[in-house]
Amino acid sequence: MSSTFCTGKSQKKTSDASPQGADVKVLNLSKWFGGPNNRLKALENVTMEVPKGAFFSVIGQSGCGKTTLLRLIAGLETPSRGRIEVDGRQVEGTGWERGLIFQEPRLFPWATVEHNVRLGLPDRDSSVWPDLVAELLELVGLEGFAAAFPRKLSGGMAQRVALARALASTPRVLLLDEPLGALDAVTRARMQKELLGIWHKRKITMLAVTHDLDEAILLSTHIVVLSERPGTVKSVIPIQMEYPRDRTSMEFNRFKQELVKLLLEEVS
Amino acid sequence: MDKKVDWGWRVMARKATLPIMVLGIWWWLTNVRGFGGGILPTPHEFTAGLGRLITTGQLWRHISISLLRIGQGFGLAAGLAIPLGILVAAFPIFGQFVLPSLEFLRQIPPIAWIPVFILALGIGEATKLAVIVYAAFFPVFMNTILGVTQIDQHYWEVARLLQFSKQETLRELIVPGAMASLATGIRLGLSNSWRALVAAEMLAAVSGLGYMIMSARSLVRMDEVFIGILVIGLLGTAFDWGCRVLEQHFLYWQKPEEDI
Ligand SMILES: Nc1ncnc2c1ncn2[C@@H]1O[C@H](COP(=O)(O)OP(=O)(O)O)[C@@H](O)[C@H]1O
Ligand SMILES: [Mg+2]
Repeated sequence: MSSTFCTGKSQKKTSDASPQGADVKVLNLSKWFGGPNNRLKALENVTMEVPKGAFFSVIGQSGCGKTTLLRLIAGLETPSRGRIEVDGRQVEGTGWERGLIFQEPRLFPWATVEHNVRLGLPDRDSSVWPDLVAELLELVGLEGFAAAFPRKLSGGMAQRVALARALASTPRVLLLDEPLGALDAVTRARMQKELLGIWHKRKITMLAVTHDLDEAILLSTHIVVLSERPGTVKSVIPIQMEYPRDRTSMEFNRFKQELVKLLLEEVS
Repeated sequence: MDKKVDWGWRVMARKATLPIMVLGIWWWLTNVRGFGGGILPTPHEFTAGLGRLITTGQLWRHISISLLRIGQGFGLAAGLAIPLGILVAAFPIFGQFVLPSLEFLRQIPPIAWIPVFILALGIGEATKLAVIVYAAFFPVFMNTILGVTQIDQHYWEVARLLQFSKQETLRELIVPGAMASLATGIRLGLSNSWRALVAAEMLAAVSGLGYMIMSARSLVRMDEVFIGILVIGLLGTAFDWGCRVLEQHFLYWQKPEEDI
């Protein structure tokens, strides 16, 4: 934890602004871990563009680099090759315009729900912070839990606090790393609905990793299929269906079959 | 963390069994068998001695002097050990410079330094302070390092995402995250320095509980020797108990059952 003392750097404006509409631009991105003799390639030459306001889901086998991709965009890792632009600026370190929700809620156990969310505000000492936090807790349906400590919360509630904390900075882009992966089916379905609601209400660009095909089809405007490690973009499938989507519809199942086929091809 | 004190009568009875037996044997040895021979005071001599020490104000004077020394010395030690521990944990390079030497010094009991301290600092308060600081420093220092390095890497990433300033990192992450280990260090350091202080007072002091025991011994006042021993033990226990209470207070968020 030598470098953990310093916090994220801000972004640098690059000369060539990205074309109108692209919020997240990933260009020839490669990432490898380890030294020269035990090098592990996690991502290879990933290129993709997420338009403003889109809901992208990333699917692929476990270990293919999905988490690494999100961590790179969030600024927690640095690219080995290639670059990332958000809103036309090259990503360098973490920044308020990019929110990340991990697979685990990662709430500070020593702080109340209210304080945890407050820490997500860029200006935590502004006089209106109580109102802002109250508003966020209402948005995720946890008005009554401001004074609770994280260990009193269920998995779904804790993840909703994490969502409120990430939304506190009104990010342009919200990165979600299997945030619903650990939840039971009912909680999960409810949270999927809430995510859609927030996406509609706040017009955020979403980039979510999931291993649940139904979830991907239910939520996304586009699904990115990554290949096996080292991950490359295999295909980007637009899901042109009206919201709210019906899991039992013919259309839904056609998309699902297409995805299953793509993923199975990969295995053989 | 330890469970809450169980005040149930069964538990209390079990805890009291051994002390009551010791008191009974003491009474039996000195009153029935007439044993003592200048080593063991009778319960009567003991209480009379205690009454005298209290009414003359001597006991309180020695206690307050020892407590004052512990307060000053421990405060100084913690004030050095906690920031230094955080520094070493946060900057491993700094640790590479100081840790091997500190590890070496840690192995030497503070009492071994007393002759050196006396020569260098005289027989005044500075020597006692040095002994306390030496005894308290290492447990607090080591447990601070442990506490900070054991903070989950996950939380450091949250700190980066939320753009914590250095002060915020300290206040929101490092201090609360290391608190449990820090509390252990403080408890160990306090008990360590209390024992070392009494030894120092026996060798180099004209006041304090350690001195009270030594001067009583040279006057063959065994009642006062035993009173001194008892008071030292009771105060040490009280410190430990106080630390646990504070620990529970500061680590409220760990409490599993308690309602918020
Ligand atoms: N910090 C790291 N150091 C070394 N290897 C890593 C690190 N992070 C991830 N990896 C490796 O990179 C590969 C991709 O990991 P990850 O992005 O977590 O995959 P996914 O999220 O798709 O399951 C895995 O083989 C993983 O072991
Ligand atoms: Mg992953």
